[in-house]
Amino acid sequence: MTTFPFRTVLVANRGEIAVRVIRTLRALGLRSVAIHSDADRDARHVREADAAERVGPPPPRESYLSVEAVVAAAKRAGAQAVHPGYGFLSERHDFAKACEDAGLVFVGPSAAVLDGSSDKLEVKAKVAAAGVPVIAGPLGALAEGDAALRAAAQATGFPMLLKAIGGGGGRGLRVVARAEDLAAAAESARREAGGAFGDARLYAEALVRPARHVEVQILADAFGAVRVVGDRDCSVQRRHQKVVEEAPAPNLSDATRRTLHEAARNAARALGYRNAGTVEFLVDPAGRVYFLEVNRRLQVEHPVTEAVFGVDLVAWQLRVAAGEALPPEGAWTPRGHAVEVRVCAEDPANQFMPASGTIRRLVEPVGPGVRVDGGFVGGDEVPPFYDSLLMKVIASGETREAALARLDAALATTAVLGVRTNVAFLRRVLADPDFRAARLSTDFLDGRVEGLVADDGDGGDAVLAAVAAELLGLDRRGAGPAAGAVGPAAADPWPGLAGFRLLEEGVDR
Amino acid sequence: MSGPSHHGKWKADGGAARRVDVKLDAGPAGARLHGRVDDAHVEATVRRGGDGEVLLDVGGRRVRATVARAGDRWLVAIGGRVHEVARADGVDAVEGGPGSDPFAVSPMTGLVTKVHVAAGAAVAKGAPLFAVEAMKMEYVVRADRDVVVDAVKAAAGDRVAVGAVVVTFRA
Repeated sequence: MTTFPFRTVLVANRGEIAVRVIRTLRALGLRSVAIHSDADRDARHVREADAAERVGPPPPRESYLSVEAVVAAAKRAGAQAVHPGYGFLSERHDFAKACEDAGLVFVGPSAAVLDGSSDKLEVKAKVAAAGVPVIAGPLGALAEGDAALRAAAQATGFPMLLKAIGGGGGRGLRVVARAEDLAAAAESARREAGGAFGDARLYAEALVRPARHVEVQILADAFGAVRVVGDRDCSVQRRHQKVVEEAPAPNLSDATRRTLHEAARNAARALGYRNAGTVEFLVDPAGRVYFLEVNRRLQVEHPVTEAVFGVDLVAWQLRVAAGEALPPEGAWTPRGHAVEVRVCAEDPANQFMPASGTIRRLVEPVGPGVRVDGGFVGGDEVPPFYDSLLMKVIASGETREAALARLDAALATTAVLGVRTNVAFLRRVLADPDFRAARLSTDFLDGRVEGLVADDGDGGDAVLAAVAAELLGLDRRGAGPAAGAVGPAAADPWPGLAGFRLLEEGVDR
Repeated sequence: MSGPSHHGKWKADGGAARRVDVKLDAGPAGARLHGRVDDAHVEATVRRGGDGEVLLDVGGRRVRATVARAGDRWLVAIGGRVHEVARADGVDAVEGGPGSDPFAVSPMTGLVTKVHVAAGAAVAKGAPLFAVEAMKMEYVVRADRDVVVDAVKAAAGDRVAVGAVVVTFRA
């Protein structure tokens, strides 16, 4: 039993991840404080926390991304620790530093580690020096001018990938197929990276394609122990956003898995890493492994790892932050398989346009081996200011097939009404024969999306029958509205027609 | 004893209007919904499940639907997919032809990041009119035909609701 040197923890996030962290805090007997912008005053994470603090107006820059406002909220609330979740301020060394300076325990790597690992190219050079396999390309920023471009191309060959040193998310990223396109691509990537990250510097790498995205979960404590907590495959992506994630990564040879885990451990050591982190890799069809980057926080997809290892990664983040040592090597072993999908407020039929508005009804699936990490309930508003993740549905089973069957059954009973979502799209992805056979690569959805976004048919009579039954006032026992009615109600021949009349009058709007 | 009945025209998922003429009666295994959709006979056993849930047996097919009303539409989730059902004979039956709107609207609730046009500008089909950002995604709204801008109703930095008119065109 851990004795925590903190009793109150501020959760510096919103949505499903804030709700998820609050649940673990409650299970550990710790007090939780939520933060919220004005758009989230009545959000689910605020309702579920023990206390809440306002951090500013709706735009993230003025609220969830404001180091000053979040640290001030923690002090006001009497918190002694801060859990950053993912995204927002989670990997910002200035935030970790501000927490440390304010006497708050930052549940994550130290400010020094975050600072020393914020430059992606420096990280690549550091891990390469530690023997971690990296993608071919110069370990320095791309200099201006044609000569530098030619030299880089010599090292990478074509197709070449141009990447922004300052950030990710697909911005500043360019695939260059031919030498004659290089100069123009570099110029436009520089412009985009400069605008997005305030840092126009680029670096060049060979393009590894086709390849799978496989990542390794690590936990590192204050005593130098680094534990590998298995791997995940997150190859199914759309515009660099993960769509489906699973653990363990299917169809990996033992040799490849060993290489991945060893590389992740070495990368963590090379960075002096602390707390939970993820080392991302590409794995090519020959099983060769290439380092991509280190995510210095809890990942969105951490529940699949929790499902197969039976560990609570957030609890371990808190324990490590409290100075506890990790259990010995081999204490955690994987069992079975788990798959997660991200249910997002977006419209697949309309270029995945983000959707916002009021959720009229929301049914989270339940069942054996099913876990839902959700951030919303029926009646909640989905504000337009933040990312579109509504909930994650995770299913586990003895085998990949069993987990997938449970996941599909869970999605079939998931209902989000009022805001468009990708649930039907996700079911079609899961049903894809190549996905079923675990023939995975990061270009899986390229050229497939069109076939997967189209909804077929209008649902036929069942849809109209459901509406008719609802507006004709079907009662709970399943009998027709007039049946069993006694007393004054029986005198009314149309007791169930209230909804029908409303509709006739067209009162809403 | 006879239960309530309903006559109306409906359309699901923007499809063709269908004439619905149904009645709900008590039955031994649940309520019996029966009647016609267009000219075809329909018959379903229906039961109430949990909140907003309707359990149907339609021609031997068991369906679990979750139903909610959103303004003038009904939303029906079956198998994770959401169908939108609207009256085709009532308040929301009138629709303009595609591409004929004398204005351009915001496709989502968000922040106007850029306005590319000004009043009086002649804009060619496909040229950008304005850009809106929400949830870390930017969407550029383009002219769907050659137009002359009459007025611009929003400026960069303004919040706009989905469907809000941002640019109007001259006739």
